[in-house]
Amino acid sequence: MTHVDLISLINRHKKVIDRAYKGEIPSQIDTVLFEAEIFNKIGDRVVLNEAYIQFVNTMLKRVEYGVIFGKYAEELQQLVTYKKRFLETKDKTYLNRIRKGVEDVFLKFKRRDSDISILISRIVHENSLSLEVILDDAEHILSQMQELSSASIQTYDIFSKEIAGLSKEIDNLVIDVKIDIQRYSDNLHKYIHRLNGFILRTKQRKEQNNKIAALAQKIIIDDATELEALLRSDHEALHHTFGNRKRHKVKTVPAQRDIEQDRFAVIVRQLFTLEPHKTIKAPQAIYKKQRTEDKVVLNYQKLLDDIRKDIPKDLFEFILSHDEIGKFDTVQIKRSEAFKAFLMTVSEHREHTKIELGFGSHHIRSVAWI
Amino acid sequence: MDIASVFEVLSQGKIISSNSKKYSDYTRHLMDEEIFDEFYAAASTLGYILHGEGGYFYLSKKGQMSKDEMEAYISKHKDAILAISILRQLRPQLDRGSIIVYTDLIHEYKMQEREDSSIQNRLNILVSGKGNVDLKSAFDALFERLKKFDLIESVGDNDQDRYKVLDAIDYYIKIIEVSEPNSKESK
Repeated sequence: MTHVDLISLINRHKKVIDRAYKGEIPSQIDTVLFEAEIFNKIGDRVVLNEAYIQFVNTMLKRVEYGVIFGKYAEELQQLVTYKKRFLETKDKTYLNRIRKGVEDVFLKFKRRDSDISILISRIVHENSLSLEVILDDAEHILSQMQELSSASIQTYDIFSKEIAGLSKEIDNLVIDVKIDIQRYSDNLHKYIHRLNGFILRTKQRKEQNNKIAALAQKIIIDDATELEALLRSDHEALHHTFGNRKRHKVKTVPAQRDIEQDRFAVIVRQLFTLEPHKTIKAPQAIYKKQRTEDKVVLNYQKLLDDIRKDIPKDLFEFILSHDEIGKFDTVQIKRSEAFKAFLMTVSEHREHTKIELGFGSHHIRSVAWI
Repeated sequence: MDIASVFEVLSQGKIISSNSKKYSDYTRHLMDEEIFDEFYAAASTLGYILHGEGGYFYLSKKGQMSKDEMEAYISKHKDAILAISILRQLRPQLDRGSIIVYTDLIHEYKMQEREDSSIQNRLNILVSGKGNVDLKSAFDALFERLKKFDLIESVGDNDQDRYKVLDAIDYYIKIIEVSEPNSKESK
């Protein structure tokens, strides 16, 4: 039989083989399966080939619990025997065997620690098996771990009491190993705790699933009166009474008594907070800074009084050199202000002025006060 | 985020879950106790009760429901329970936060359907009204229902295969636990 023939054979009989793998004993098995030694007969009993089971377990990454947990009693017993022989014969070969034995036990502990950690993760995240199988596996692993926990204590004791004191080299090794065994033992307690929690949760889940299935069955045969009574009772305080609605529809119409409440407007405003409009910034006009000026004012009355007092021959010359004109800044303004005052004086006090024919200084007609 | 936006969503009759990616902003907002109380008071005055427990939030309506409303409300709860019963049969370990894969569930369904016809009954009742439909259409309808009940949410933006189970599943599980006293066949 070629490899391909074997695969085809397995494929043709997959249902029978699958049932046998899951632990059932199929009643009708084709003789070719016996010829190919996929099934074996042990007396009257029919069993699936152990090699096949191992192969499938490996391929499906199923855990062989026996391989992980192993047995320590024999190895520990061997250590005690070697010690006895050594004490009798003083033959150092036994010391070497003891050292090797301690190392082997330690390596087993180490490998087992990581294996158990993986095993628990796998069973906690197992999705394809039924809860019954998962629970069964978990409980089995738990009992194995509890045994291991006491085995750890026993190993620790044997290392401390039996093996210590034989040679310095072994003593040093035992101290190192004991520290690690203690650590693995602590880990083991954590795994047990985790698995216990998982088993509890899975049992609850199983219970819950039974309830869900029972209630679903009642709904199907239209006999879910307890559920309906529960939903009807105190529904507003308990249940999701709001049906799904489509978007963009009127959501709700408040009752009259709600609208009449004093705070209604406040509450509505809180509920439907509006986005404030963007504030429009006023354009920033640039204004020139106003300069304050001291306004210089001519005291005409004082000028006139001085003219009357002084009786000048050249009126314009007098006005131009008067202190009141002297208040102004520039020559130009002085002349302009003086001319205005001159004109005013001449026009308003014509009777006191004598207008000469010729021009005085600054090309202005000579006027004398009289 | 503000109360108005949360009200907008909840008033559509949604149950929003804390582990929902889509509504995480809303649930974070409501987890602030002060905001929750403020919203509770405002909703209460408008005739609603705001519920927030176990990681999910929803509104219920004060006062009596009309006959139609009551029927719709009870039938919705029954449908959700049937949908959950299908999920739990296909994935016994399923819980809030679990990831379910559409194609895997169809595969599992086909395996179980042969041995247990009740699952087919439940699926048919759920998708009745769609006429005689093929398995894919039936599962599409089932997933649509689950989404509508706010029980699952697509994991990726374009992923039509993987969905996350939302916290709101606990709302229905609680009702089931109360409605069904401890079953006799528990081991």
